[in-house]
Amino acid sequence: MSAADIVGSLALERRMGRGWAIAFAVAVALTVLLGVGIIVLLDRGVGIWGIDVPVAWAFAIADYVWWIAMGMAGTFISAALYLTRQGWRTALNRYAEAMTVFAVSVSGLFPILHLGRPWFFYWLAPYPNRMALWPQWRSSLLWDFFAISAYLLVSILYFYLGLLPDLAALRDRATTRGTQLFYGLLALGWRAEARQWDRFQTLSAMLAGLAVPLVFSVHSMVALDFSEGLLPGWHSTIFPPFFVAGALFSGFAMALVLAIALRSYFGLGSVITGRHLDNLAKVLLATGLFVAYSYVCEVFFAFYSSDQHEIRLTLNRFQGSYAWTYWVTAFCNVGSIQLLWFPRMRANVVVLLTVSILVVFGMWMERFMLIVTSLYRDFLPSSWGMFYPTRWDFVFLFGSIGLFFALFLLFLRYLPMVSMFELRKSSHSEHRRP
Amino acid sequence: MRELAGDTSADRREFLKLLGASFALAGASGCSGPPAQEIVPWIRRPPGVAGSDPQFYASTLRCGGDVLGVRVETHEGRPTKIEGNPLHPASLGATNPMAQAAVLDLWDPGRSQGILRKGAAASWDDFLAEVNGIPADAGGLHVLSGRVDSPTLAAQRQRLLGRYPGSHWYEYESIDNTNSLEGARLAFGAPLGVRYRMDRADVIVSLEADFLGSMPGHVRYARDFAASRQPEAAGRVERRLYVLEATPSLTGVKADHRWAMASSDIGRFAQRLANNETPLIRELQAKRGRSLILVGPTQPPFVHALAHVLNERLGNAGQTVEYFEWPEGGSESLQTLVTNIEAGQVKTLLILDGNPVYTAPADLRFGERLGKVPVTIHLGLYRDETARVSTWHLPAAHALETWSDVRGYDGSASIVQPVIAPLYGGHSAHEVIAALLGPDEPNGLDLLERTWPNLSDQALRRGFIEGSAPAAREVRVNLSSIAVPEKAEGLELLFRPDATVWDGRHATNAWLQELPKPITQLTWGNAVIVSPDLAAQHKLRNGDHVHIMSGSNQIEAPIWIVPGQARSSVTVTLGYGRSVEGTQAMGQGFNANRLRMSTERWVTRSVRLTPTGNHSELASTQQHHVMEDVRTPQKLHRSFYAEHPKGEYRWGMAIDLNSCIGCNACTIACQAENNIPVVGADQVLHGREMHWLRVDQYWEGTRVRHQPVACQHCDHAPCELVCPVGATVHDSEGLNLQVYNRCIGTRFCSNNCPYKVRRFNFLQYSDLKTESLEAQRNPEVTVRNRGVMEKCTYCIQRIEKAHITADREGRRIQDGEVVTACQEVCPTRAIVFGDTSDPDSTVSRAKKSERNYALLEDLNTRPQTTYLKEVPNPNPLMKDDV
Repeated sequence: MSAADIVGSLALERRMGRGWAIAFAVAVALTVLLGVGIIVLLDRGVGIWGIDVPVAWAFAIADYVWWIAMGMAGTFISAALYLTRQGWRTALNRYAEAMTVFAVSVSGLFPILHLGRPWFFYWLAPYPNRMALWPQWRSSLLWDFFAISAYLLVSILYFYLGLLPDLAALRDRATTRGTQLFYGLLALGWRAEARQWDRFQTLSAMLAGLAVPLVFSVHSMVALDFSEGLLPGWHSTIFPPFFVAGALFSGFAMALVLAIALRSYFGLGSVITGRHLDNLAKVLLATGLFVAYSYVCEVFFAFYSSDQHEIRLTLNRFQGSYAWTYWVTAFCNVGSIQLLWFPRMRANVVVLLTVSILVVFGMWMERFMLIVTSLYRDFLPSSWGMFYPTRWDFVFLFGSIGLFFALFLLFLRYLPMVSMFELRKSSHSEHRRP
Repeated sequence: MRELAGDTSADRREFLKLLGASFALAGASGCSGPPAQEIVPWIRRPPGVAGSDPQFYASTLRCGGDVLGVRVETHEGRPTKIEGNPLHPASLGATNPMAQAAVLDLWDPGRSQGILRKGAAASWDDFLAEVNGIPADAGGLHVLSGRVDSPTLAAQRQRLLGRYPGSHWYEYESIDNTNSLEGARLAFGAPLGVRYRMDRADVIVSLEADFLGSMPGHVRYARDFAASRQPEAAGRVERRLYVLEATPSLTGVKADHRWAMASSDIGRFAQRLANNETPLIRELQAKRGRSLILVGPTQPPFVHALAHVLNERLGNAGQTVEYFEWPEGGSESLQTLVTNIEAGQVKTLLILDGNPVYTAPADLRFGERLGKVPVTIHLGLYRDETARVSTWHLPAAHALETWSDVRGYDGSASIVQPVIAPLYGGHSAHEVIAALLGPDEPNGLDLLERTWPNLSDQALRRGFIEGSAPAAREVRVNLSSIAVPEKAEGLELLFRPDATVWDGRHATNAWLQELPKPITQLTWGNAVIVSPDLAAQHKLRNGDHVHIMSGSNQIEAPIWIVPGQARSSVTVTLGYGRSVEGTQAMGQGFNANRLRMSTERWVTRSVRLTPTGNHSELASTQQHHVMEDVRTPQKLHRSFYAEHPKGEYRWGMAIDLNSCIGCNACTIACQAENNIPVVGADQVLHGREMHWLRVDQYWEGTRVRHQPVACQHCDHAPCELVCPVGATVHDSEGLNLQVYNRCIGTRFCSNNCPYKVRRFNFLQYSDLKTESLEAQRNPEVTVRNRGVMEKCTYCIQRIEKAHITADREGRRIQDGEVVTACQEVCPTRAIVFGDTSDPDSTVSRAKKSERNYALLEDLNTRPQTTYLKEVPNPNPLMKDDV
């Protein structure tokens, strides 16, 4: 049985095993918790969180940035590596794209739910109305709204397009009427004709071409949500590239976590090989170094600007009330990845998994640190204040993790987790290699 | 109102009925319930003015130890806002925070709403039957009231004592001026009242006298004090204020020199001053007749006597200080009542509008002793501690529901005029005494006219009786020798009125509970105030609990560290630890009265303080009190953006920090005017208080710099840039507007506001359910719901009103026509507001001062509110210690 057949049978026979069932149960439980959280939030207001004045943003925005960043790697792997003809991506792109779609979907919840009046979120859209009211075009939040929407749309399209040949293959292999119908409807009449393949290739290239700039624009836009503000620590031109690097960094870490998990659970060692992990680890190291460089730049510019607010903020990040978040961030995002310089470490799955989880955690902490340390001490000492999370803050954080994994586990069960047709293609080309 | 007498609560239907009745009364002539009498509006509106326009009535309020003439704003018969009465000598148009909050008390649904006999509902007729049974000559009738400062009540007292031979009348105030009267008796042989002329005093030495914050007359004193220290005033003389005190007061932290000193040591300082032993005396002598030594009511009588000696010797008597006879004296003391109860003489005790079970010193065990009186009748606004142990409880009418009169700090009398019929069937003290005096005793306005036979409509409209102040008396000090106590070792415990709830009478008021107390910025509770040294010695942090032991009494309470506190003094404020079911007072703070002794009501020596290891978080609105860095404004850059289109006016504000005393009246006036909700202690702890205007304070040594901060209405507003839906926008008159309907609550505007003046409705803070609170609200201002950002609007409703009036009359809005709520209430006139495009307007002239600066100017936000720098006047020869 070829690797593609293994993947296909996983989707068709759905023998996921006990581990999957337990994971799914936990994920659904957390999702239910999120549901409860949302109901309470809509009933009582965002005051159930620990936010206050001056720290009016905290967990929800950190969660949002964290999740949307997670999606970056998926798009990057499937689109940028596709355009640069990196053959090794075929083992990774399907689940990475799924990760993107789910992460962006989950992240999209937060900007809406964090609103004081979430039911009016559509006022961000420039729709025609009798009052002739338009959104306020100078606000980065507005462009952020467009950026997320566009990104979510393109990543869903791209994900679905790539699925078509595999859905058709599953349809053809399905043995029961129900699955035939299910996959048949999803396959949209794909017959693997040459003409369809031709259009498929063109559209794939086009969407990849659209998606790659989006990787950069979305995260630059997210960065502008902060750097448009005049707060010390936010008001910085380095934010857009810094955020893009951070996004890729956390995205690749998440991709590694998932790759290692899939590989060992489903026995996909022949599909997701040591070389894949090594490559991912190298990218992780490279993006991590860029993030580290940004950290250094932030400190340098704070002092170079001779702006007393920036200097005070930087010193406060080092030794203030939230200094621990800074040092945890530095340890996870700069310290831990230094192991990846060594090929032996990159070959060690346990090390890779630990470092990746540390980076995923560290990147959440970084967003929290960036948001809260700038807000809790801004300009006037009289208005300084602290932020203490409530249990609802954690409900939304862990609930969103639950929702992501619930979606991802469903994906594993019903859809081929590795692109079958591309796998077949690449294995052909490998066979032909002398 | 009578039909309600037996009810314990008013439901919605009855409430609305009452409201209708009140409306009828508030018109030119009402006719519902007692008192069915005419009340005369402050201003008779010209015909043709819409009925929705507010009416103003002059009245008088007792609050925070002061008596203030007020104008009550009513909308369709509903009192909604209190302003100062510009004609009243104690107010001059300003008020303190308590007066602002009085209107909330009126509408408080937690007020007592029915007559109770032994806890069961009864009627006014039942009560009349009870009092008719009191034998006229058996001598068992005793009356306990607060300070009798009403000439009419004093006259009724005389008639009552005449009608019931052998009856007694006692007075008790938890916070009183007995020490001052006794000091005058020591010095002059008579218990004379003292009033000061701050405007004439060039050098003031205050010995624990908080004349800016809590002494009777403080609103007026603050005005005169601030006016005399205007740096720009023509022909200005250098003014200087020295304060010696143990615990920082508003006066102390404003002083040019402030010395923290144990309260019990101040007497010895006064003696040294009188013996010419301090260098301070030279400056006082140089300002003969223009200096002033004043002593707070918390100092023992001999210190007052020494001050009288000094003032006479320095030629100040008759110049900066005047003595006058207080006409309404003549009651007995609480101690006498306790003795009489013990002797079994008290058969019927009538407690008029007081809460002695809570406020009486611990050693009198008043609550316990009250049980020995066969019949106790309590008249009060709430079913409080005293009401619960009394045989009878009568709901009192609020000051805004009664006819009365009252004397102010200088002895001048003014009229208390009802602006609404009693909402909950309350009765005034006059009515209860009248019930005892029989059917011939008049009520309401008739009663007043008995005291003031020539009471004119004019006087009612002005709210103030001209020429009623007793004349100043020429007196000579006649003092033989004064015994000054020895220096005591150990810690002293000081009792002080609370800055917002006073002796506990305002503890039911949510606005006052949530108003940050000056100096500590605490809300919803009290604390034991200790010095940083003492805290360090016991390794205490803010909120750590301590036991305070005084004799056999002991309380556990959290501490709060205050920099200017004397090392050997710990201070507790009164008014907390109340237990009034169904009100805001429930469960807040601790009861300091449990340590208070009738012989040592202000200071107890040799107390012990031991940490307990417990901790509670106290709801303070400001966590950092030190200005961290010295700012060096950078060069301002030109804006790349087009300027906002200029309108006809350009509104701006200037706040004179030299005048600001940090009393927080502006904060609460803003709350009353703009329907700002209270959020409760837990939300304040979360940093979610809603006050649009806060008074920041920064410690500098042992002094405090105050800074009222509200929306600065920046020309380049950082908030406007970041709102994705354009809910905060600029208008052509320079206002930064907040459009509540459009706001979706991203809170980016708050994050981006460098002044952090935006307030967010994190939860549903506005009470939309309580009927009576709806009636209190200003109909001109939107009530905000959850999820919406709000902030100072420069009282846009007042600007709009001026616009409408000016448009109708075809003219421009004149300077001074728009007065913001914070400006109107300010006792020191520190806030000026107006059109900055008019170079001659008051605000433009203020902004021309070289003291003028914008807050965080280097951020280039170009605020419309600017500040005038404080210029203290320290004595160059004086070091900051005694």
